[in-house]
Amino acid sequence: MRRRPAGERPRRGRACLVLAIAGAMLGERPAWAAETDLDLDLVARVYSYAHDSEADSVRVGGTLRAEPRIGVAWPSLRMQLAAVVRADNLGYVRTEKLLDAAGDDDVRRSIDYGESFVEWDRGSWSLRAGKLLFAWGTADSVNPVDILNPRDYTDIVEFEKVPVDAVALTHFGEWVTVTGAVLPGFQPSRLPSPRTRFFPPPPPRVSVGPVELPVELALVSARRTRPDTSSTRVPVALKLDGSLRGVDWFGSYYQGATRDGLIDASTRLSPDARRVISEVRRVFPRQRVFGAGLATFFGPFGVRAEAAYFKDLERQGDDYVQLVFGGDRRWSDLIGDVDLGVNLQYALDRTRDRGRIVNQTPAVMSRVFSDNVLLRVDLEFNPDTSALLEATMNVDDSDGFGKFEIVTRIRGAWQVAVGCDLFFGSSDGFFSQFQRNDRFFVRVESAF
Amino acid sequence: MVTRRKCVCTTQGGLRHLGLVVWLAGLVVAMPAVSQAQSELSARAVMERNDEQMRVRDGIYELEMRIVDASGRETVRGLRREAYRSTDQDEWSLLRFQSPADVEGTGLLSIEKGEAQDDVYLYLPALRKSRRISGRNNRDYFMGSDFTYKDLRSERLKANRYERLPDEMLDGELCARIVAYPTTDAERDESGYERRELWVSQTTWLVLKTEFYDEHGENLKTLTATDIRPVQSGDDAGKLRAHELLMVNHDRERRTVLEFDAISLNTGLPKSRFTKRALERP
Repeated sequence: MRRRPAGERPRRGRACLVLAIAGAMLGERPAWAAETDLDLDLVARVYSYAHDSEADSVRVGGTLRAEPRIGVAWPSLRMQLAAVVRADNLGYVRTEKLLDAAGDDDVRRSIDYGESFVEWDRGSWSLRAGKLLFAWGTADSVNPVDILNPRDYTDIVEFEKVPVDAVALTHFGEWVTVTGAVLPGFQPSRLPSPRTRFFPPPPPRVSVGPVELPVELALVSARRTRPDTSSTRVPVALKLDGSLRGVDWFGSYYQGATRDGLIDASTRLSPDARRVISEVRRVFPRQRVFGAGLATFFGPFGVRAEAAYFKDLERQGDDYVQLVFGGDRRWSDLIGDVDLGVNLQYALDRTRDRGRIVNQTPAVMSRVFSDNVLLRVDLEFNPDTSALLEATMNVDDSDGFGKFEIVTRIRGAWQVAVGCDLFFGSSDGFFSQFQRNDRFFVRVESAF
Repeated sequence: MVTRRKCVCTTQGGLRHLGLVVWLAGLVVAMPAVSQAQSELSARAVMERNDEQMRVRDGIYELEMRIVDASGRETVRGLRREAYRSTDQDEWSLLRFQSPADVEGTGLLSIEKGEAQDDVYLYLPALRKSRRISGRNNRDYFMGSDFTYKDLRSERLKANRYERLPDEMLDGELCARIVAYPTTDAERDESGYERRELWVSQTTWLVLKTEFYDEHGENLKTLTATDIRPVQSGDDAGKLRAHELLMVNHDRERRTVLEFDAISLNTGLPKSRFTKRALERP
């Protein structure tokens, strides 16, 4: 390891740059010096879908993802620019034409912003503006109040947050930290496209009186149902958090359009009365969301709880509450040298009058939240090898999802994981509809 | 004249020599006395001297952690630790992984205030938020190493009862052997140790070796401190510190080496450095 002066922050890939003009403008000491930080995260995943094997082919998919980041920092000012470059194939693909975009294949190549911002710190104040990622909430696994960022659900198992245009001002007090955010514009979450395998297929035929007719799906673009984001309806958010006698607490407020949206479906007969046209549109009602949460521990048990009350500003009676609570425990050297961590959470969704919530019934989050048990078990065999089991089970629908993987470090920061994603259940629940997506995977990742 | 001068010289030289002889004689006489005095120091007094030697307002430590398993496979991690100690012995520390790249930014903030239960937060960059973890996790191994969270913290005199055993030589240094027992069951549960045996140098008052025992009297681990030399920077430059710590885990048949690249003592770190805000900004 390189020997460094004690005061220097030894960050990998960091070099000192001389940015005299900017430094002089900022009036900082040292006036002309900034530190840069270059990072790159790489992930490659290959999937083999268990239910799609045929005599002459194995259905596979894959993802390549790279996230380069550059950061520049002065004592009070920090800038970061990041991009997410990815190529996915999550469709039905024969092995011999992995990257063939023809037919049912859906290869997505994209370059999006990663978390990119300018941040100014002065005393107990911090102002950050740009494409931001927020991480609100105290619960593990699922955070009902963490709704400021849209998600990319293209692969619902590996979904990720998308940075959102925002300005956030934070005051760090001795007892309370207050964060206010303004989120102009509107970015909805990205759902799986109809040509990809995580798009839930509609029933092929429906009964209309005594006859069965085929169903034709008509999707209405989210662009046509975008909410009004005029100046008076700009989403705003506020959070207060702190610690008191060993208990971390927070309270939050959000007012703005929901990012995930609700599914609004209507059906009609085609003019020739030979088909049923199912028109599906996403709507993004404005909501007020009041959140609160606590986290503490009792002896060796960590305990966390979080709740959010969603008040629909456009439809009377569409209010609902989501609650997540649970605990975790870690054991060292439980069996031999193996460390074990267990995290159990319970998530539920409660409404005042579910029958009146016409748009909520098929909504993704409602089904995910409705009486779910979430379990995470991790085993650490040694500093380089671990195993992870994650399972979610919907108590109402008796269906769920499980993930198992073994990860090992092969060299430096290079890691390889092998595992499987399994959906289970026999009902028409949220998870069981994806059973054709049971898959084995190999993931290789590194950071530089 | 010459004779006189010679005589004077001789006298002066003789006096000088006499002084040296007296000083040496005094030293010879005094050595056993000092040694005896040190031997008569109570276990508590020895630990207080160690505490005095170790006590600094703040410190910055750049180090490399090497974990070697039973098969010889080595895992290397770069760390930076900042610590702050108030006048009433409350202690704040912020520990951050610098390498390898996949764990870079992972941080641990510990706030230890008197008898109250410690506040411990773990920051994982992937989650982008810090998580309060149980004080009981103090007996868990820190990030796969053979050091528990508790091992990484300063000795708390109030939390232990000390007994002195007969002195022993260790690598040519006369050491006071001290046995440390946790004062409360809670403390014992938290540390996971029934007792620790410490070898405290009677020259530097640094702990050169520690053996950790479980409730069955089994020696779980042995910690050895070597490469003792003055610290190079900070207002307390010149203080002696071990620059290499070796923890041999007999139970797991592994070992972890902490190699300090740089240590700075009393650099003027502000207390405000040890907050969740700082933890969440790697």
